Amino acid sequence: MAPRELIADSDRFDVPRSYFADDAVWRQELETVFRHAWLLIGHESEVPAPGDYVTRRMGTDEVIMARSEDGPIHVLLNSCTHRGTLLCKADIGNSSHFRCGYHGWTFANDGTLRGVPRGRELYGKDFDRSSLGLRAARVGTFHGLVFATFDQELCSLEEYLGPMGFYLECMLGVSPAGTDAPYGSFRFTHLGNWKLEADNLAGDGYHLRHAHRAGFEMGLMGAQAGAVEGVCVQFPHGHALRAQRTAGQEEPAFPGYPEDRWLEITEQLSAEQVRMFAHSTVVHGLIFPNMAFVHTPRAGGFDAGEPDAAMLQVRLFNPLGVNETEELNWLVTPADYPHEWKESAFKTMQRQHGATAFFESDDLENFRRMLQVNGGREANRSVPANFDLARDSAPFTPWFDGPGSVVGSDISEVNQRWFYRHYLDAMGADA
Amino acid sequence: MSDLAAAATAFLHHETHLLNSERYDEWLALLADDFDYRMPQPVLRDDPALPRHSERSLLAWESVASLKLRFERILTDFAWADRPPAFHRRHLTAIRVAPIDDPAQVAVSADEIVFRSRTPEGSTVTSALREDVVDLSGDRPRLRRRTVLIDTDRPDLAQIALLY
Repeated sequence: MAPRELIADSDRFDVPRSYFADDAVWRQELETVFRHAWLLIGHESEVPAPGDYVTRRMGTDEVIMARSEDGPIHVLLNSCTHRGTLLCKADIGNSSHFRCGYHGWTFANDGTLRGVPRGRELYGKDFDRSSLGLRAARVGTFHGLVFATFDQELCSLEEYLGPMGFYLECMLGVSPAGTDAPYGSFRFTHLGNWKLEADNLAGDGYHLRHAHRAGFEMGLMGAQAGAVEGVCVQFPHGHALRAQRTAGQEEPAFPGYPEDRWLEITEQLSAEQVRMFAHSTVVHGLIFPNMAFVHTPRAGGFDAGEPDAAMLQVRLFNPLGVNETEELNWLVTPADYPHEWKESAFKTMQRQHGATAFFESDDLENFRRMLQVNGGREANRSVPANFDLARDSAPFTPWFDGPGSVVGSDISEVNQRWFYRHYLDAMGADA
Repeated sequence: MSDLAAAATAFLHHETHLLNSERYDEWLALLADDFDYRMPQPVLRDDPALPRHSERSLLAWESVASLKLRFERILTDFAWADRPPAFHRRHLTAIRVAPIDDPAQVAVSADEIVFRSRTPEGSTVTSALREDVVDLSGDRPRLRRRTVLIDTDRPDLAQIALLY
């Protein structure tokens, strides 16, 4: 494999604090960034049977993810086409129809308008219901994850994810049985601007040994605390990823996965995916704009006798305003792995990476402390957020030959710069 | 009130006081070795007859080992989320004690109001139902199980980060 050079990246890179503090920015984000992206909605396993539905948000739009009677998954604007009332008020349920509580208009779970009380009598015999179905988003799936967009012009989901798919498949494609979200979704709100979580998970290797120092000192970082090598990778559409592995390993091994599955993993993945994913200590990244993932082998420190299980946490952060974010988390596992393995992975997620646990709690604390100062007049005008770390990485040879712009700076802000360049470009600002 | 109920009620008042006082080592000493702490995800469902908490999604699932780590972290100099510490207090009411199949143990449920306050999060008041199992078989009571059902469908982080 040929050494790769860091792409020249010479200008100072600042983002004005106003981007984290102004209501007008948030409203513009909804029009630009969120309107023209594939947004994560959930996992197929949340709606396994015809009629199953969950309610979600796309930006600030309320939507229903429903499996219709004939099988496909639909993502529908959760708003009656008569006067706009929220149709489906529950988080989760099963129904063949959604009926508005105001005037009784009734929609099938594929969005078709089925019933209008006294429709023929009051609206006339030529009343055309066909144009009054629920507004449907385009839906795409990737290894069980469901995405949607209301943008009819945007490229396909496959093209949107593009070469990021190579890396996502390393985590989502290890089993021929597909993936599962066995514990459903977790939802909570927190103070802080959504972009802080996005840029952190896109590739902030710098904060780990400080923000999460307690985790290192208490032995919860596992192999990440040892001799490791890492990369940051950037992709079209603003996605980015940071990956790290135990250095100097040759024979494929997959920490956190049952040894009797290792052969299957090597058969499921391509040779280069195996090379990339073997001996992984952590993979995390961002699907632009607001989906992130964290994959890590179990680091220990929990209950005795539990299987060593790798954890893949998928996160979604929806901006409820410039200062408040709604977060949803899923544990995503190979569908056919043993129950005990999934349970162990779940505990790792909630106890290490859940909102109340070691790592995310300290991250979210930093984000809300930024909120506390970002609105200040001086802070807003004279102290921008700076992302200049690691502009001059030496050429290096990655341990795998993978797609995307692979940079050998494990501790850098190259991915954050990538994220904000795409963000600012979408916002019509000079990036 | 029976002696059993009185003992269980006094035990609950004591362990809650220890949590309020952040005397975590003493609180851990009140737990059975197989203590199991769960906070199911609240769920809005249309049908009022259906449960309002998920059967499979847990916002928190702790054991003695994980709680020890959690408290150990708070004592490090790098527990950023807990510096400065928040004000917090648990208020118990309507403690109910009921027998279960094992005569050495009792089910204890209590309604609970938990107050938490700190800048910049502000103040939260969370209502919850605690469902406990207390083991009275040894020389002193031990808490074996606690399930916390919070009465809010969109909890914020400050509400779920607390132990109830």
